[in-house]
Amino acid sequence: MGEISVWGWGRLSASFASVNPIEISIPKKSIGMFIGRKDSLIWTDTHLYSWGEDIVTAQEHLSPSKVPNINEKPSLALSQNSTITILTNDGQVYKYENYEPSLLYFTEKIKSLSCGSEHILALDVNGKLYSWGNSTKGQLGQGANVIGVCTSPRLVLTEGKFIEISCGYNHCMGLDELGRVFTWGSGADGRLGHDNSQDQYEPCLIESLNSKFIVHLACGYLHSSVISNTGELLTFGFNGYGQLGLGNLEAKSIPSIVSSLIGRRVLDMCCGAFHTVCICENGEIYSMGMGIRGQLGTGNNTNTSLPEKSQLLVRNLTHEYAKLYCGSESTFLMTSGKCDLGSPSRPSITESQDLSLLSESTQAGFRPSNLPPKDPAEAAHHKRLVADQARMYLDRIREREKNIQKDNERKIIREAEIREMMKIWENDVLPYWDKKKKSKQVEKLIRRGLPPKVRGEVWLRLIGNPMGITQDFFIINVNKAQKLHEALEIGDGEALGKEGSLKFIKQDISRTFHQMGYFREGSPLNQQLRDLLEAYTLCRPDIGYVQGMSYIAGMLLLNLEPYKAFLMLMNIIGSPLLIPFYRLDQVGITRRCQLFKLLLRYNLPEICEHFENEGVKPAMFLIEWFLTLYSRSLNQDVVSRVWDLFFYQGPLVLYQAGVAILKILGSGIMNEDLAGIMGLLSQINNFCVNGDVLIEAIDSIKIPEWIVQEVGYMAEENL
Amino acid sequence: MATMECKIVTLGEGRVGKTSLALKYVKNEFHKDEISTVNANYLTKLVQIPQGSVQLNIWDTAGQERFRAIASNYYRQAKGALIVYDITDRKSFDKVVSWIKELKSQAEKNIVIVVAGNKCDMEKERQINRPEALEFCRKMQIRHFDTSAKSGNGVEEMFMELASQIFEANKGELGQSGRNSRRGKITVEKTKHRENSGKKGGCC
Repeated sequence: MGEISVWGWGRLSASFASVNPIEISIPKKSIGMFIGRKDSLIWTDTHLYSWGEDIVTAQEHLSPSKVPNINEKPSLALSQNSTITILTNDGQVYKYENYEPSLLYFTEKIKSLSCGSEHILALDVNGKLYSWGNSTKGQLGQGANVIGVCTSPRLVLTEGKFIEISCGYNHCMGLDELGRVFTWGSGADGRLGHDNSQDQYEPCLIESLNSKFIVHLACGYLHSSVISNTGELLTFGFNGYGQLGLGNLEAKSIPSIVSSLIGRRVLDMCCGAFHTVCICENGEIYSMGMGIRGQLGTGNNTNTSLPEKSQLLVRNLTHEYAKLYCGSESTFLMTSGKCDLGSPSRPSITESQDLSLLSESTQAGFRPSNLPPKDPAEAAHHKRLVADQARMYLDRIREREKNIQKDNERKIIREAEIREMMKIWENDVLPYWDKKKKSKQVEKLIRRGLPPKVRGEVWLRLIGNPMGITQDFFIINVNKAQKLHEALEIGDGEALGKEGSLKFIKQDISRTFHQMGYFREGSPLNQQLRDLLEAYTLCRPDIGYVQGMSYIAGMLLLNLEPYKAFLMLMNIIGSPLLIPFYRLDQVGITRRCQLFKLLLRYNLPEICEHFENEGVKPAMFLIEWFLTLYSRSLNQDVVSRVWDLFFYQGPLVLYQAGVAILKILGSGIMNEDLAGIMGLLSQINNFCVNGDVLIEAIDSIKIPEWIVQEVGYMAEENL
Repeated sequence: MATMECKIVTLGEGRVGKTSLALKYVKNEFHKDEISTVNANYLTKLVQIPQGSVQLNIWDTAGQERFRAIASNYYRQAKGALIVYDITDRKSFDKVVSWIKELKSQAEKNIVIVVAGNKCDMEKERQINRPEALEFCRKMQIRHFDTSAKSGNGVEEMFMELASQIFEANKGELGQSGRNSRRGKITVEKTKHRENSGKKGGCC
């Protein structure tokens, strides 16, 4: 057998669809995959990878990346509503949420899983079924009295010993060792195959299949499909797009043979939301049903109610492995065989299409039949427009791919650089810190960004401990906070003055860097963050907790242990250039915003003037930037670089950084009005993605002598 | 037809759902764990009401009491205010009273205020008696809405009501068009063709 490859067609990601089969880059030695609504999974016998929308951060992974925190070896996995369920190779099932796996308990080892829109089925080694999730239509198969949500797996009482299961949107099929098919759940459109459209609350045998021995089954959203041991394909249920392959669009409530495939011997079959795909003994792939995203692989995007040959052909299939997987609007083939890509059976409209640009209604090929035919000139014009759009889109895709590639290359170089710097820090710098801290070498190293491993340590050394804060002092305050909590539970927080801001801390903890999930309720860092902020609030009752501080504390905790993070927090916030922001002292803030404006005018007069014309005041964004030291606005890598420089050079860097960010936004900002500018400023993380670029921009921001003087006065007067 | 541009501000205790309501309305998004607002967010939406259209420029402020001093920067010159409380949190309702007082004494005279009892999808945990809230608002002559940023219930209606009350309260100013100063709130309909005009070309 050859190496495993995966081909895909249809809607392959949130923003990309291809009507032609494309070879997908996958981890080596992949053994199975699952295509979910937003994210998809692929696994080797050692690791699980995902692509598409990240279940925690919702960011898009364009290619499979390892799912973190999984030490078990996967044999199957599925993803449903931000939760991944993993079956390990020793038959255990884990529910994986927020990057944390938790074990689900079963009496026997599990061998297979399948999921519908809101429910999951598990099959154990003895052929018993378990189900959990939402049972609105009886899809849990646990009888009419179990309706609603069932959070943990429950045994489904059945007569058969099952060997295969499949779930549709809200119906299920099970195959037993005697080749019999049982169905349950929603019966609408006849998808259960019982010659009616009633819902079934328990597995119910399809009697009309008694004369056949079924070997494989699969559910679409609203239809069902099975293969018999003689290679016949039978389908039933909803047929609005022709997904039953019977040459019409009528729903069928009993399994019906797809007659045009008779004699072709179907080996594997899979169903998408509204399409059915099968692969025949001779290596040909046939598809039927909805084709709007190119999911039929026929090189165009029209629906078909009769099986149509897809472009991909697997050579010498009887000696190779081939398995079909469908997403709701996509199809994937995993195979060890060599694939030939034939020409489309009908001319293709576009090579690929942007889903947002070409919705059904704007496509040249789609016109409701009740409208008079289009004027040929107009039709040609539309076709041109569509082609232009497609070309533009392709350019965009290529551009994006190029950028991603560049990004990856940069990352690799950066990683090598970090490794090399790491050595220098550990061997040449840190042991001789006192001698070297003021050297050119250290300055240069800091500008290039600290390696994450020594970052916390170097920050700490740069800041030192001028206040002489001890570990005991920290612990005493943590304990004090604990006691105050009890008081707060009963009393009114405001009576306690700024110490009353304690109550806000709890709310904000889980909301800090929430995309990353580090500080969620129950995670180890959650308590640490809370302790840190509460201790701070008690030590500095004159300042208290201000929303935004949780980000700074969070960043510190990601790099340092709690006591050291505390020490840093105490020292950072004390800076005269920053403290009015934390006191929310209007006069002090106004003065510092004015300083920022002067620096902006000195460096970027045109932006400064534009802001004045549009009514944008520095306070509108600077307060947030300074209260969080940019950690809410920039991504973590970039903000760490700013902090490196901040600790090394002092707080003026933060002012320079603000101006530098505006410089990077550059001309974009000049064309916008207040709303547009505020919009851009709320997503600076999309513009400042490269730490090196930002550091370079910061260096380019000149500080005139009189600003340095002004800062000196501020420090003296403490205004 | 005339478009009225106006500034509105969201006020209320922390974590009651100010940002969520604004986001639900403007972008139809809802996040269970919306991140806490630091200082203020800015959002805009053009609302069509029977009388005309209103461009709502929404300043969504931070809820922590400590930001209160700064909030005055945002409600100054505001034509409308949305005060939000959480129906499952008694204290957040008490804050509504103090916000109304502050607005009546510090904000523009004809500022339109509406009150939202948010999280009405969590009826079971309700702490504020609904008739009590309604009675209170009736006395103050302020419209009260039951909203849920999660389900979207009441959100659209509330902003529509706010927009149309603001329109009514300020339509006198629409006539005296004059120059469109950026900070002036009333502008006559202008078609925004950014691509064509490149740099902003003053007013119509």
